Amino acid sequence: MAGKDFGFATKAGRQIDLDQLDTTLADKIALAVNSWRACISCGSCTATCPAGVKFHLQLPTLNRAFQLGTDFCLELPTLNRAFQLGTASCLELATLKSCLLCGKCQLVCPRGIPTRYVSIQIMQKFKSNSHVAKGIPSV
Amino acid sequence: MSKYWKEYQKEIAEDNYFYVRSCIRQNFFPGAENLFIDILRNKLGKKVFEDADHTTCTGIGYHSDIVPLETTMTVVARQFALMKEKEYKNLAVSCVTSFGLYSEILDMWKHKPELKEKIAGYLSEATGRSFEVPENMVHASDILYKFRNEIAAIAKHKLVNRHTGEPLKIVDHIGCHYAKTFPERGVGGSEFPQVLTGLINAWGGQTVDYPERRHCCGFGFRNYLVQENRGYSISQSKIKLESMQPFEPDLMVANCPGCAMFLDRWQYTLEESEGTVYGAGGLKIPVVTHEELAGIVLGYDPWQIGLQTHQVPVEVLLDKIGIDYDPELKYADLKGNLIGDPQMINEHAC
Amino acid sequence: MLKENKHTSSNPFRIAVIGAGPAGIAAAVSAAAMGVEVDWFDKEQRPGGKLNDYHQLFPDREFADQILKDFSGKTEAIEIKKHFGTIVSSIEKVDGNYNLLSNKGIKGSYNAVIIAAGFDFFDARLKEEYGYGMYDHVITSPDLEKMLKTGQEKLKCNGSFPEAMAFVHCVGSRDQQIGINYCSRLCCITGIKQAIEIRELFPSCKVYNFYIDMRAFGSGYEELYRQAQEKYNVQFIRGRVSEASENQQKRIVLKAEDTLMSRPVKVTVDWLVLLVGMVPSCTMVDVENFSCTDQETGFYKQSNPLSGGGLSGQPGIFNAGACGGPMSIPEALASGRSAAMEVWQYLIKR
Ligand SMILES: Cc1cc2nc3c(=O)[nH]c(=O)nc-3n(C[C@H](O)[C@H](O)[C@H](O)COP(=O)(O)OP(=O)(O)OC[C@H]3O[C@@H](n4cnc5c(N)ncnc54)[C@H](O)[C@@H]3O)c2cc1C
Ligand code: SF4
Ligand code: SF4
Ligand code: SF4
Ligand code: SF4
Repeated sequence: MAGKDFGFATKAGRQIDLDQLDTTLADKIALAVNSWRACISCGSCTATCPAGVKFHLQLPTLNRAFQLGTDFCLELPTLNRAFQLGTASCLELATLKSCLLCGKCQLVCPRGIPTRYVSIQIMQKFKSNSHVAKGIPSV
Repeated sequence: MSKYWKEYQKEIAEDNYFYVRSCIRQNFFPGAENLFIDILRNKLGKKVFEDADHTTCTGIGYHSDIVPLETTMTVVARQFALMKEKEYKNLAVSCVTSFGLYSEILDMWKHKPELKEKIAGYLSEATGRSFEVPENMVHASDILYKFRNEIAAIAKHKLVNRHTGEPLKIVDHIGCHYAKTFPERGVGGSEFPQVLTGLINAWGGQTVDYPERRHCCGFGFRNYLVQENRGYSISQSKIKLESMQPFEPDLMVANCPGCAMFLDRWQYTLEESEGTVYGAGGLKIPVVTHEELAGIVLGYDPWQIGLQTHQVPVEVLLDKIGIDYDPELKYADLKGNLIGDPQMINEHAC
Repeated sequence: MLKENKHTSSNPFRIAVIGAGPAGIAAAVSAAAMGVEVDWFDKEQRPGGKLNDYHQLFPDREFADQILKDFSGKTEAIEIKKHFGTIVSSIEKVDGNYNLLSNKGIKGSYNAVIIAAGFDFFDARLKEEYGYGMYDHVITSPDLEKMLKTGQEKLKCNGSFPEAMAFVHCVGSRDQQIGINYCSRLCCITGIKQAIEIRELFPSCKVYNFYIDMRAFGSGYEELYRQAQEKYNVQFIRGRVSEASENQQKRIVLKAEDTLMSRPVKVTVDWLVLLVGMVPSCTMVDVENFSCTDQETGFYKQSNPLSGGGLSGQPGIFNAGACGGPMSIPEALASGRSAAMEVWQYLIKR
């Protein structure tokens, strides 16, 4: 039903509802690189990442989004859902394509996370979902 | 050191109130304040004084960055001066916005006595008056809380569904400025406020503690003054409504004019714009103020106390309680002449 | 077993140790081993202090009961005069020695006193917004220890195991609202340990830890933190819960911000565990004519923050363990031993 227009409307929420979260994707990646969960968001990787300095690549933020299972850029309830729908245009995810695979992140990570391998894992997961692959480089 | 919530009790004067009205309540629910004075004077035998020279506190203007702080303080100092001139010491405030503003000003003066001196100078310069701060300052709902058992003793109705015999499920909404800024000035503090649940329980109802109970109604002053901003306001009310919906409340009670207004009117707006209603059985949830709730249990005529000025029809509630009313007279003047039902206007006025 | 007793008339030193928690145990055993006659007081009927109610201990998850058994091996092997069930209220100086005043009368005269009266758990009701004491499913970390100790059945909700649980860090610590500015040091690691225990007991239960800063300072603590993340998939969310409420199913709804995502979050859990801080004991012992506590924190103060550990500043009065501030068990034990050493130095120089 087309509602009456009062000249204003309710706003969509910004709150991440953890009750709705679906962490299937994070779990898949953790199977390959379990240490990924040990990230402490120290930001060492972003600070010296060529793609972080020039573009938007921030591994810790991407990590948080995966751990919570939310595609907060798309306002979609879960990242997994975004993945299934083929709408993986999440800012953070899309920025992975700017990764040069230089390996600096891995060199500086105090938790010893093979971050470069994490990048590859995420890209591969998304690539295997063919209709999502648009824009994500093959590796 | 902080206190237990149960220990948030305040001193509420026994009698002799200098009553200050709310500028907006008089427009939103014109019957509520007269009703309050009538209950105090004629049911509880208290002395209440109203000063014809009393003005708005400018709270809404102040909170919307329209009126500067010192002007607001001078206006408030003038109210205190009126009270001093009439030799009253107990201030009873109708509006939660005013109550919060007065509390804030008194607190600022406590910490900065020189500011109080400055305002005293402004007041004297502008009006020749001088003031004293109230000895006791309470919100109108505090007074009803204090006398809740006395009211229960003379009540004609209980907040009980006469068909099922069950207590009515009632949601309380406390205006943010009642206790969020100064929890010690509110009965029960701000996380588990008791001021309205005390009334509900004493009068036979059942209170509903739903997850968004403490959330702001969205009134927010500048957030509704301009039409384009009202989306912010209505979104907050919607959060509350969605959260209380599963509890299927029979009624909402609010002690703030703004909250009562928006929780009422936004239900209509949401129904029209989004097609959603939040009460049980496809109905909206009636909203009344603390005075109106007292008036209902005391057996006042619903149309005499202005319940027809609520957007959400209150008849469902009256029927549940078993209150006699003449549907014909809903839109009649005080003499009983029919003045016609409200008409839908297509262009929203402001 | 023959008890070791070095106390002879040629060794006339006599001291009192107040408190039989880890610090008091270490102090009493060490002093007795040096040949000092020890009168040992505790308000409880058994030694062990807080450990009596703990389940598993960080960092190695050793059972508290095992450690207690080791302790009693040590205390039974040496002669110490036990005065359990005695609440010491104050200490007075008479002719250069000390008398203890308690519910059982006056005892004296001691050449020196070691106060090892421990700490209290922060009273979580003071943080109203978490609803402790209001909602059945809001508990504290010591409550959870007891539940874990007496059986996981207690953690069932409506007959089934919990689906989600949350821990809130810094409840009663680092909080200007309640006038406590210090960090309690051990609640982070307690939260980590308890989160792991829950994930082991209920592998399908989601566990969230809401923290402000993660402070895992002790040996083996950081390793446990990493294990909690990597092996147990505990979700550590940086942000402090600022409201808890109950929904219709009596589950707890939390509001926080994930500050690393710059987003508010909401989650519903079966249990909310408040990681309460450590505060000065309500049965602190007064020392006559001497202010022995720190004005800011209320714990016993040290004569010098760097070098005066255990020294109260008053000759003959010493303190040990968590009555001097938040401390772990190994630290409390070390502090008890070192106090005994300081006492010995004091006694032989007298
Ligand atoms: C939830 C929680 C879990 C913890 N788990 C661990 C852990 O796993 N590992 C670890 O290393 N640390 C742990 N700790 C810290 C540990 O509790 C302390 O390090 C330890 O209890 C300190 O020992 P204490 O002897 O100083 O004090 P307490 O254990 O508090 O003992 C003090 C004793 O003094 C007695 N007393 C008090 N006042 C009087 C009086 N006036 N007269 C007579 N007697 C009195 C009390 O009855 C008590 O027996 C934990 C702390 C918390 C809050
Ligand atoms: S490998 Fe990729 S993510 Fe890592 S530093 Fe290089 S560009 Fe950045
Ligand atoms: S450097 Fe490592 S631990 Fe730090 S934010 Fe990056 S991935 Fe996380
Ligand atoms: S809206 Fe937020 S910032 Fe403003 S008063 Fe309320 S809690 Fe504070
Ligand atoms: S140890 Fe952790 S939880 Fe406890 S007060 Fe310090 S930072 Fe907060």
